[in-house]
Amino acid sequence: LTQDALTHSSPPLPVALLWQRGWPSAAQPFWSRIGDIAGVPRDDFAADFWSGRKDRCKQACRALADLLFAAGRGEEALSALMLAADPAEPQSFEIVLPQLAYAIELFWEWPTARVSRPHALQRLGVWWRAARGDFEEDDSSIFWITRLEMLDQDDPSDGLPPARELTKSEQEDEPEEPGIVVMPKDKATKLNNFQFEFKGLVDARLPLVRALDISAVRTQLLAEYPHAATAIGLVLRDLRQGEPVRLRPLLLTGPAGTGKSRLVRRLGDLLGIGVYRYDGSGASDSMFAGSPKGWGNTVPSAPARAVNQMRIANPILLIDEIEKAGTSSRNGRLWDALLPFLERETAGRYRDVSLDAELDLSWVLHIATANSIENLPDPLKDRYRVVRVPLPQLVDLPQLAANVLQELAVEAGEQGLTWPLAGDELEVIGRAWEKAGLSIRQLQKIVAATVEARNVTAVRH
Amino acid sequence: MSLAQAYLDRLLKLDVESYFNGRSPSALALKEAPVLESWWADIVCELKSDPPHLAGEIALLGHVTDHPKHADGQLIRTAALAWLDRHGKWARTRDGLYRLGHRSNAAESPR
Repeated sequence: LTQDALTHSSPPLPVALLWQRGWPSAAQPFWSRIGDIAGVPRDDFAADFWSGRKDRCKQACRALADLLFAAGRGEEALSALMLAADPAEPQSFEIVLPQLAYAIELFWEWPTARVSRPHALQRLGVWWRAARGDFEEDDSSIFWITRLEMLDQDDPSDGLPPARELTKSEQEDEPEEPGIVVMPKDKATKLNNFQFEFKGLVDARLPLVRALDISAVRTQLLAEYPHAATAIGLVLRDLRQGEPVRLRPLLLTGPAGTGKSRLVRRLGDLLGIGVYRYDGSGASDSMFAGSPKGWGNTVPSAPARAVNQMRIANPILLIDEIEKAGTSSRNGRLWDALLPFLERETAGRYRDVSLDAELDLSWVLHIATANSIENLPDPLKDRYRVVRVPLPQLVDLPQLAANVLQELAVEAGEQGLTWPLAGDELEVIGRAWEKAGLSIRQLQKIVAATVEARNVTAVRH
Repeated sequence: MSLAQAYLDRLLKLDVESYFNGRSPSALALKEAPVLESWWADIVCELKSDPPHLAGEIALLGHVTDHPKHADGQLIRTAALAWLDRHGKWARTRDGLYRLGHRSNAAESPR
């Protein structure tokens, strides 16, 4: 079992890529997956990776593959080589297909309910033809070619986006994925040296991540957060299959330890959207709205930083513990600074004082968490949809304990930890958990202690 | 399946696992592996059913040295590849490891 199979119930990334409808939509989940890997400075490659120029892009993918292999992340590295595979250059498939075919057939384990091995191999058939040179004259990406080729086949893979009818023009060109220009050049002054990392944003068309496979996202979130079923339902209700992800500003509230922030992270993972976290408790207002250009050390607004880091127009901006920003008058201004970003019209033409440019930040997804909302000012509360995440209950224990156990095993890199908890162990855990207040953080501690005790006993015997 | 075959399959799986963890074959393993010179990749596709799809395999052709079963300099076709190094330095076939010499530039693999 690879680590991936343990942490996700979805297929390994390279398999998931076989179903993407074009290069940009394959690039998105890859890009968000490699955001947090030590030794892989992803953002150094952003300009080339998203340049839209085949050669620069292939070079970036190959350089990323080398770094990812060096970091021990072979699945992501193979995904990078898949993104560099070019039908016009059949040899580029030779370093992808042997390992991909072998791994799909005999190596990777994944629950095959949604994506079965035969269906993955069926799609891979198109890649084999590309390796043989069948599409040498074609200028499209292998992802787009695969999609067109599979339209002719009976592909009953459940849960995956149904094929649309193609119009004539679509048959000739790979259509552009949805996207917008966040920073139009004609509404910006010249950037100074402090903002060189934002240069790539000028006039760049950034992708809008679309909601694919909403029902699978729902199933997965419900399995991980059985106690938050209502909240999950409300959040996902805004999404439309196949359309860019857009949510009204959302405020998750509930006692500490219900897993609110982690729920947001998982939502981002499953939708293939990067999450930019902003700590409400340590907040200073100038950092959120940005500081004016002309200051020595100027900082663009947090939503602009999120867009620039994720290279998508609709990243999730998570403000953690937003209620804590109210404890000093200085920090209190975070709340005022936030208001313009929460209205679509004002966020759509926000004048960033640091970049001295007008930005379209209307697609940024605003999610905040708060342990309580009593002290939040009304104007702010009015702009959020407030959703309660309750504490788990004892009936959620078996499922939550299993999740926690799995996380521990992955962290430790040990298979031995994944022994299921015995009935009596679960009972002991349940009693201790109830006493400790039924928070997920407490459950993590208790399960860890149980496993620890179990390992000590095992060594003695 | 014979026990020997099961053992070889297991070795292959462990090797592939180590490649996915970012490791390359050890210097010793490469030193002991047969060498393939003037090699090129040969792709064979076959139509399968249920569901109907094209299944492919890549094998390498080339002149081998230090192979336990073949005379030095003989032209061979390897078993299907399970991994081809992205820099073209080595290949793991379903039955063993090869060190790769120069890729043949004459042979745009005859299809």
